[in-house]
This record gives sequence, structure tokens and C-alpha cells, in this order.
Amino acid sequence: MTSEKSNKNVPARPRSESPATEYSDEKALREALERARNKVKPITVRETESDTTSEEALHFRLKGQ
Amino acid sequence: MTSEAEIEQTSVSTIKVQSFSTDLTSLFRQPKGVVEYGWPPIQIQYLGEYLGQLGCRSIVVESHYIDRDYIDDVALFYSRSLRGYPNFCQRMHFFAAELNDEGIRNMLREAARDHPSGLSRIESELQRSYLGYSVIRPLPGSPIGRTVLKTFGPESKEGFQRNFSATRKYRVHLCGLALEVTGLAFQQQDRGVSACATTALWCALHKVAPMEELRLVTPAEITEAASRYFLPGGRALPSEGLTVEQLCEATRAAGLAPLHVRATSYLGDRAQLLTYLSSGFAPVLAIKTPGGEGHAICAVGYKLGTVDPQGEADLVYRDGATALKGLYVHDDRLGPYASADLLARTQPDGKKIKTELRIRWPQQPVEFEQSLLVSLIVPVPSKLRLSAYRMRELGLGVAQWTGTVIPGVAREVVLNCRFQKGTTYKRLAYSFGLTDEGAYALVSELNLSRYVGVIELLHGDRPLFDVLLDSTETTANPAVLACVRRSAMPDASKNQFNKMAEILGGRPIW
Repeated sequence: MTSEKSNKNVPARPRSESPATEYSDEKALREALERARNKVKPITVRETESDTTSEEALHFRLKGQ
Repeated sequence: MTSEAEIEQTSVSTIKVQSFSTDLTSLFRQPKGVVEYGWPPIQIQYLGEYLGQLGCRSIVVESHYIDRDYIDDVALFYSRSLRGYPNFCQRMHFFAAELNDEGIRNMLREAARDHPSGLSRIESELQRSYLGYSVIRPLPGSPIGRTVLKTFGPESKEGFQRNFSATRKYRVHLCGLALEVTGLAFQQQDRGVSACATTALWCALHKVAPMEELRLVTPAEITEAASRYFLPGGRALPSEGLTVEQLCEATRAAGLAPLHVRATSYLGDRAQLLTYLSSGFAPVLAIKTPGGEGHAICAVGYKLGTVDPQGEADLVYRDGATALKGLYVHDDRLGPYASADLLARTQPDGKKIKTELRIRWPQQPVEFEQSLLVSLIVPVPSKLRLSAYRMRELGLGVAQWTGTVIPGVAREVVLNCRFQKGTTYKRLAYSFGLTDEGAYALVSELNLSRYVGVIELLHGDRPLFDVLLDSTETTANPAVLACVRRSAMPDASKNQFNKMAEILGGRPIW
């Protein structure tokens, strides 16, 4: 767990890119969440694609030396 | 005919002190004849090397030790052999201090004469230099039995942060003195009762079973449970390895749930490994060796470097899983806490990138083997139904959302996921600097599942907020219990934070 006191190595950030108050109402926030989830969808899809089928993986024999 | 004197002998034990040398071969008897896998076994060489790195200087040998795991192997297998295998082992205790027979005698005398202060003084003195123990089985060629050793310190030679999260405290008794060592049990496969898969699962269960107050199963019990219903490889004994399916069955028989996760991508695999390891679970890794054989090892810890910057232009968060640089594994062909670097290996078709493990000797650049990760089998408590993948699926969206809507954090939001006991989380929450109302609501009004999923969002390395999930649910979406404000969350974002919590379906804790 990250400590509350740990504040070293925080990278400097350009404040200019901060969104201001445009996300203060619930509708805008909900839409932003939907957009965010769509943006990361390719990553989550990629993380379900295995080139081993479930059957193959379950029958894989672990024999060692 | 066995004489009474011979029977009596089994109840006589001796304690002997020996100086340590990294070449431990002289302490083991070489089996007669041609030794199939060569002599000395690589595990003995590794053990000597590892103990040398820990600063070992003395070994105290108990000549007669009844080991619960080995005696079960004897009952199931060795007792029916023509050769009369003893039912007892030796046990070696390793110390960083210079000890000798006379010194140990004096210590025991002092503990008895000056009781109780002398006893605790001697215990403290030995504890300071205690490095752990190894049970030596009377099995030719595979003598290394249950071995629990201290781990290396918190920083690796490359400057990575080490975390041996899947270790626990073991209480040890030597001449009635109580000692402790924090580590995870390791042993060598004996090729009779257990192969690599049995020993890897046995290691993993040594961590997870006590978390759930379950009894520890022995290798013999694992092999029996694994082959009760499935015998895809023919006979169960002598063991010629287990399939992943059999490992799952043995995990279930031990009272835990086997979570089987197939390897997908370099980033996805690192995310799975980091989530389960940082939660204190010990995943069994099914790997494919360069020869195409299957092998099982147990992950015990991990190495963290820095989090990579986001590489995709329209994503505004960083993935904490990119900090995972390597693992520490119990590999029964080698030894405990072997270093395994994680690398991306592009497949010959050029499309797929798989996760490669480069297993090394302790603190040395010498590589032992390069293998590919095939899948993980994570023994988890049966009520932990939410998977790391589901938690991460929600976490990625929330991280991107946070980078978009919270001012000043874009492209510096870091996502981490883990499971944690609800009681532990509540205890830690006292240090979060919450408002009086927030702290009271969290610790006394919020019902948490035994294990909670924690999606942690940070700004750099300072915590912004946590999303707490009920891990008894199967999907992350309806499972949000609360959003908990952490110290780096700007005061000005309180309204947004409260609304975000409501949208996620959880209680805002500020």
C-alpha cells in the first residue's frame, strides 16, 4: 500500500492541460466515464486473448526435470 | 533381527555445530552407483550459494528430526520399498554468527541456570543471527526437504525494490528455544511422491492456507488429491508430473479455489502477477521450458522499478503493472527465491508478444534458463470471486476517467490493483488523514467483504483515492462499496469526487 507520507519522485506536471470545471455536473462526468471506458477497451480485449485454448492450458502437463 | 539398542537409537538425538562453507556437498552422502542426475544435485550447490550470500557462518545440525511432510511420503510410498528408508530426517539450522559446540552448550546451560531471563537472552542472541533451516531427507539424490530461509533485503543490486509478499512467519524450535524465520517453505521434488507441480502447489498453499486458517497439506496429500479423479498420465505414483487440471483439483481438495489464468500479453500477464502477488497470494506458474516441456514454479515475491510513461497518445494514465521487472520464484530444480527477470518476447510470427522468464542464480547475472509463461494457477479463498482481470477492467476505465476529470493529474495518474483483507484495510485507514466523519463512516458504518478489491489511483507515487470492491461479487460493476479519499486528492475536487463515487455506485468517504 502506498504511504500517505511518500511524496518523493512526484513528476513535475504541466498544469495547462488540466480540465477545469467542465466536469462538475453529473451528466458530463457520466459521459466522461463512458468515453474513458471505451478508450481502454482495446487493452482489456487484448488481455483476454490467449493463443492457448482453455482446454489446452488445463491439460498442459507439468513435469519438471 | 532389530535389537532393542537399535530401536532405542531412534529416540537419541545429537546437536552438532559445523562451520559453513558454500560447498555443502560434504554434509550429504553421495548415493551409491551412477547418479541419474549427477552429483552433487544442483539444489545443494544453490543452497550453499544462497546461504553464502545471506552471510551464513555456522550450521547447527539436529541428527533426528521428524518431518511431517516426509513422514507422510514414507507412509504413502517409501515404507513399501525394499530398501528400509528411515522415517526421520536431519535438520540444519543456519546462523550468521560464528558458533561452536562448546558455545552452544554454554548457552543452553546459561538458559537453564538463569531462568527465565537467561532463556530469553539466549533466544534473542540466536534470533539475531538466525537465517532459517533445511530438513535433510534420507533420500538419495533428492535430500532437500522443507527449507525455510530468510529473504534478501528490500533493494536489489539493480536498484529495484524487492517485495517478498508471499512469505510468512514460521516458528522454529531448537533445543526447546523458540526462534522465528520469515520466508516461504521450499523443497526439492523427490520424483517418488512429488514432481515439480506438487511441490510448487505445496509452496503456494504454505502461504494461502494459514491466511484462511486451513490445515497445511503434505506433498503426499496433494498428489493423492490430484490423482483421485484424473489420471491422464497413467499411474499416480511414482509421480510423473501433474496437469494443470489436476493441480486445480488438488487446490480445491485443500479447501481453496483454483483460479486459472492463461497468459495473454506481456502487460496483461504482469498486471495479473502483480495483483495476486501484491495481495499476498502465491501463484503457481506453468511455464514452457526451451525444450518444450511443462514445468511448475511458485512465485514468492517481485521486483519493482519505475512505472513506464503512457505510450499511447489518447490515454492519460500510467499503468502500475509496467513497474514489475521480475519475480522471485521457488524453482525446485534450483532452489528458493531464484530471481526471474520478466521480458517481452516477440513470437516468430511477429504479431504476439509473450512473457519470458529468465531464471538466474542468486544475485548473479548467470542465467539458468529462459522459459515462456503459459498460465497461472492461483489458490485463493473460495469467497474471493472477483478476479484481478475484472477489477483491472474497471480500474483502467477509472484511471483514464480520473486523468481526464481531476485537474492537474493528466498523464500522471497511476493505476494499481490488489486484494486486501477488509479488516486490514480498515486498520490502515486510520493513517489516511480522513475527516472525523469520513474515518468514522469507513471504520464503523461500512460493511466490507472479508477480502476487498482495492483499485488504487495515485498521482506519481502519492495516493489520490481508492475504489473498494466487494470481492464476493463476480463482476466489478455492481461491486463498488466505496471511494476513499487519500492524501493527494485536491480539496477543490471534493464535489467531483463525491459525484464520481455515486456514479460508480459506492459511498464517498472523504
